[in-house]
This record gives sequence, C-alpha cells and structure tokens, in this order.
Amino acid sequence: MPETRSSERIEISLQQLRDIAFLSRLEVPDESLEELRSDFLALLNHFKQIDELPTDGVEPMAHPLELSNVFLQEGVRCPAEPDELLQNALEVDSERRVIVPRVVE
Amino acid sequence: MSSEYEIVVGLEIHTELCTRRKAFCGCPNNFKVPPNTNICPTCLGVPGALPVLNPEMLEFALRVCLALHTKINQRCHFDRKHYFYPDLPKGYQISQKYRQIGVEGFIPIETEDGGEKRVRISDVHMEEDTGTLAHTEAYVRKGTSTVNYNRCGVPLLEIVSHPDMRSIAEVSSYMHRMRDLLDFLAVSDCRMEEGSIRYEASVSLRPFGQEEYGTRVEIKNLGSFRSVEQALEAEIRRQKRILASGTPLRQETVLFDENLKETRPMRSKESSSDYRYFPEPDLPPIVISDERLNEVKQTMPPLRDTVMKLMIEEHGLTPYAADVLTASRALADYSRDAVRAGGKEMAVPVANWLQNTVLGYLNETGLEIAAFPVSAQELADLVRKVEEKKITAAAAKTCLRESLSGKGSLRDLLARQGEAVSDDAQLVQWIRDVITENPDKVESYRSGRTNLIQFFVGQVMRLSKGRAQAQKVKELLEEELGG
Ligand SMILES: [Zn+2]
Repeated sequence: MPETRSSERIEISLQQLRDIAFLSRLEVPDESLEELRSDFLALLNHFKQIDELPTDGVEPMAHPLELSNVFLQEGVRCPAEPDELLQNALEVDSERRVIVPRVVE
Repeated sequence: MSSEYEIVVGLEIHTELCTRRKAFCGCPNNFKVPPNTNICPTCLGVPGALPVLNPEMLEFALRVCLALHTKINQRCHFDRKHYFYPDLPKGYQISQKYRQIGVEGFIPIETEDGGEKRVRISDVHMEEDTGTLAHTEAYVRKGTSTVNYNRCGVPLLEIVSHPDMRSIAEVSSYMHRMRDLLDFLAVSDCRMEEGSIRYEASVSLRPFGQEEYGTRVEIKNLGSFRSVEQALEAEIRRQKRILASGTPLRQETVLFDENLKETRPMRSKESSSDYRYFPEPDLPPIVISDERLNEVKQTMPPLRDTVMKLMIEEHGLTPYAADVLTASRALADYSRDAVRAGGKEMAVPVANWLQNTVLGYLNETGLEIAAFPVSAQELADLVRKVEEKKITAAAAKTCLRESLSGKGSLRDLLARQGEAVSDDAQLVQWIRDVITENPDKVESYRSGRTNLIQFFVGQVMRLSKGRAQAQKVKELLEEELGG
C-alpha cells in the first residue's frame, strides 16, 4: 500500500490496481480499471481520516469483540462426514484424493 | 579462498506439534490414514465454519517459548496470511505476524572449538499446516495434481533465529539442540522422514571484519539435517563464485536440488508484502495469565541437559553413558525407568546393558525403543540376576535374545534356563567328560595348540546348557589340561 503523510490524499497507479486484482485472483478488464480506481480511492481516503486522530499510545485492536481465550472443548467433533464434504470437490480419485489443476511445471 | 568470507546463517524451523487434535478444529491430528479422512468444514475452509483454538497447541507453544527463554507476549493474537494454492483451501493460512507468542530468546549451541555460544531467537509463532499435494507422473501428464487435506490445519510452530550462525557446524549443532529440545518437551515427534520438522535457511557472505551483512539468499523447503548442510554448502559455493566474478548477488529465494546438489532460483510471483496480513477476525485474542504461565512452567517435562545431569549425579552414570542413553526422550524415559527399577547399586550395570544389548538390538532390527518388547522392570530384574551371579551373563543374553525373537516371555525363559552353576565339583565333572570324549584334541592342545581351549570351553558350556561362567570354566580347564 502506498505510504502517505496524513494530510495527503492516497493515490494509486493502474499497475498497483492490477497487482492487487491479481493477488485477489480477480480478472479486471482494462476498461473497468479507471472506475475501480475511483471506488478504491474513495474507500481508502475514507479510512484515511483515522490518521488525523491522535492514536499515540493506543493499543492496536486485534479484534472488535471483548472476547479472549475461546478454546476448543474436549470431545467436540464436527457432525459432517468426510465423504459428504468430499462431494464438494469437482473430482476425487479412487484413493479419495482431490484432483486439482496441475501446480508444478 | 574459502577463508576470505565469513558465513552468516539464520534458520527458520517449522515443526508439527503432536497435539491430539488439529489446531483449530476437532479433527484428529493424524494424517497417516487414508486420504481426506480427517477433514471437517473448518479445516477445509467451508464458508461459515469457524476456527476455535486447541488449548494443547497453546500449551506446547508456551513450553517451547519457556525453554528458549523468550519474552512471552501474554496478550497475542493470530493473523491471516493470504495466498492461493490448492493445498490451502481457505485462501489464507492462520499464522502470527504482528504479535507472536514469543519474541527474543536464545538457545546455546556448540561451537567448532568445543565451546558454547548463544544463538538468538527472534520469534516463536503458531500457525497451521497445509494439505499435501502430490504430482504423480500419471496425473501431471493429464495436467492435474492431487491434494490430500488430512494435514491441513495441523498445528505448526515456527521458530526463527537471528543470523547468528557462522559455520555449517554451528548450524548443525543448532538443529540438533533444537531437535532435542522439541523432543524432550514432548511437543513434536521429531520424525524428519515424515516431514514433522522442516527448515528454511538464510545465508549471506561478508568479508571477515566487515560489520554489515552481505546480500541474503533464502533456501526453502529443506527436510533433514543433511539437506540443510548440503544446501548450505552448495549455496555458499554459488555465492563465492558469483562474488569472485565481481557480480553483485541478488536477494532471492532458491530451492535445493537434492540430486544435483545445487541451489537454483525459485520463480516467485508473490513477495512477502503481497501476503496482505491482517488480524484474524474469527479468533479472539489470547490472554495468558501469570498463573497459567506458571502452571505450564511447573508441569514442563525436563530438557535433555537436566535428564543427563540426573543420570550422572544421582545414578552415577558416566557422562558418555548419559549422553548415549538420552539420544531421544523415549530412550531416556526407558533408561530412567530401568535404572530406577534396578536400584542404586544396579544403575551402572543396567546402563551397560542398555548401551550394549538393548541399543545393539535396536540398531540391528531398526526398531525404536517404543517397540522394545521387554519392560524396563524386566530388564532391571535380568541384570540383577546376572550381578548376583544367579545366572551367567551369556545365559541372560541368550534368554533376552530368545524372548526378543518371540520364543516366550523373558520370565519363562529364565525359569527354564535354571540357575547358574558355580559348584566346582560339577564343573570339573563336565570338564573331565569333555577331556575323555576328545583324546586327539587333548593331545593337540598339550603339544602346543593352546587356542583349542576355546573349543573345550564351548563343549563344557554346551554340557552346562549355558549355566556355567565361561571364565571360571576356562580357569578350571587350564588346570585339568595342564596336568
Ligand atoms: Zn478439521
């Protein structure tokens, strides 16, 4: 993400936008990039207002709820059967392995 | 040439934690079952399924942090690391980026001159393992790969060192010390061949005396001590060659080719800043109270050093024996039990039996101590019988061997064996029988072929069914034959 001082507006290049789209595996046609950029900037600059607040000494919030230490209980198992879950796969071989597009050269 | 540059190495260790269940779901943490059997909506990343932290993982992580003397972040949380790969069904890995459980610790390692130094640990953090991809030829030809998600969501601990190692020997010592630590803390089964410990090394060279580090290259995906050592050798060779040619090194990630014994650059489209880490919203933060921390400290299994010290100081074993018998936690546990069962005066003979007979058997058969069929108590009883001269060492070994090869329980075999014969009259009787039966051999012996004594001893031992002390028989034989 481009670094800016609090008074500046965030700018973003079309290449940065393409990179971000790639990381999210989104296919964005070139003619939609400008529109996406203005939406994206509107969002970023909206949140940028937080930079104007004095946050020195404020602990960054890791979670919005006042919860901590939620632990897995003994003996709890998911009711879904593995076979049932495997039905979500496009293709499964005779040894129960999920077949996916090749990921090595 | 080789002394021009100083080697600077840092290591990342990823170890699977041997918890009973996975990190964030109730699936058994055991992936040695048919593919895709230990899976559930959570570890498969089915939309709407929520992770919940396995407290065992937290406890194991705390043990490691305590053993590595790290500062413990008593408030910490998980973060998401995003990337797309078929072995990661959620599209992100739950990890710890911004507030790891442990930061800034150290582990002492051995230096090449036999001294010790501390390697600083920069952080210890919890994360989850991915599924396993297979690229069988038949599939690759069809343009596919296969995935097994049994390993997906298995708890992992990542231990990151500072670049404090200055030779491959130091790296080796670091890996061994770390393996011992993880083994004795009972947090990892340390089965390298099954991938339960994996390494990534970062290596750079700099002229001796230079303060700043050279360009750093990372070597990914190393699965054993040997491959780390060999990969480092290869990478150091490569860097020296490039530096000698006057070309600057590129900061990059390489893979080690085990067959060609060389490192080659990895084609990578994503760099670490592209992982788009952010706090994991599905898992609330962890707060570790002082009480909890203390509890973990109090119930932590002893480290190898402590176990060795106990063997030496309390049981009178030699440092060498203590070292051999603590090669693994399982062996150390068995040895401790056997030594305790034997009592103080039996400690040293029991230790000898462990080192010679028990370890000999394990080496021969390739079995692990966990598979050793004779209990520590039985072994101690056997040694006591030998020490009290109730049976001969030879007979004890025979019984043990027969029991190990499935010919009955050690107890029964010993009962059948009968007690040792130390009655001289009986021994002399057997000796005279042997002399009468072998007049020609007696002749040869008396005319100078004294090595025939072994033959006579063997014959007497056979008559005694192993219940005679070979040394005693030999002495008596020499008397009888000499006369
Ligand atoms: Zn699961």
